[in-house]
Amino acid sequence: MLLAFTAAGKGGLKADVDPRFGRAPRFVIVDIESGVTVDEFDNPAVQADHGAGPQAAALVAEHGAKGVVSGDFGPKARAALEGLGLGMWKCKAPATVEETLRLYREGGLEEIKPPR
Amino acid sequence: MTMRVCLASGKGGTGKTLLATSLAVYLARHSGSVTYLDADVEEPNGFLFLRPEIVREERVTVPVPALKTGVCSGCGECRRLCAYGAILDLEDRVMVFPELCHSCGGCVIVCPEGALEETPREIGTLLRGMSGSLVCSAGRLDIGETRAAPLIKRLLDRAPPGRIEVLDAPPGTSCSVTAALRGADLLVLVTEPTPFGLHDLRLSVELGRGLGLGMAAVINRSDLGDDEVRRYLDREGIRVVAEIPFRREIAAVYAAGGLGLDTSPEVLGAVEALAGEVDRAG
Repeated sequence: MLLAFTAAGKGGLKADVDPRFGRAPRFVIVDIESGVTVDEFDNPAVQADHGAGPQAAALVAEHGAKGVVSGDFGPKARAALEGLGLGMWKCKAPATVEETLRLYREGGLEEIKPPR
Repeated sequence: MTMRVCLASGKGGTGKTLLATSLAVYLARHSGSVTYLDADVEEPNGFLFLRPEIVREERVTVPVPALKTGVCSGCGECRRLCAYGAILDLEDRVMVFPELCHSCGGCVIVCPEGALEETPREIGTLLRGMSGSLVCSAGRLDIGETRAAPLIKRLLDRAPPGRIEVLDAPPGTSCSVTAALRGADLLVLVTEPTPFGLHDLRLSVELGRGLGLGMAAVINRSDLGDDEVRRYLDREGIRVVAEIPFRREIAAVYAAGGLGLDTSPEVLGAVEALAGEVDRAG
């Protein structure tokens, strides 16, 4: 399964996670079974006046991610990710993508569940 | 014929509302049939000074798309058209984010299934009242709302008839300011002689030129800062109608919700000069 991590800069697994979702500078897409970075790219939604969350959600979904790991999610980002069927996990910053992936595998990240 | 004079500034806090409220009251006392319009809808504070008795409140809406249940095929035509990212493609349908919509109506037109319909979304309130013989109207944008321009347009469309309209514009040079200044007969730029004042004044002058407006300037806190603002206005051929020196008493009266007009000879002098300018422009 592919997960999208919000990253503060370049460096794939070695990059620091960014605690914002829609306004994160970059995304790193990781295959969580193999631990391999399959893709990383800039987030064009950083520059959006409004609606960075839904734009970023559409972007990571296009890249095949089934879930997102970030520090926090705004209300529109949350609605968009829920609608797209992507899971959401909260990371703990400061940490690298690699460290955050390890925590995810150990079940150490809080999953954000849609309200019932 | 209505004559609309707009008070605007690039920089915030230069004295737009101080002058607009005083000018409106002065003109109402001397010429009658004056309307004050508070178009600074994100923080409308003119009524704090004019204290009109509110006679009417009207909610303002903009049309936004809503998805009819079970009709959408998820083809994505609407999402491709939307320039503001207000529509998101899901597997089998779309999701609409009304807060991001700019009400162009295009999505409703391009949808092959007729799955979208326009529904009203409330963005703010128009208030109308009387302060003595002065007719007052203000827009008040809802908290958290980002689209000021449609509310300002409605404020202008619904402006009560008056021979002279004094419009208090929002600060800056964004869409909301453009909406407020469109159709002005005279643009009065309120500025201050500081580098920040000059920087934002240049942007305002550019906007005023772009809109083809006649301009005049008032320099507030005129005994502070330097002469760069005066030199700039001179080069641009924009007349300085009045200068108001920095006086602690003016700030104190303003902070207490008083009218500068009745308490400060400097403000009264500036307002008399502005009234003359309004006369000439009309």
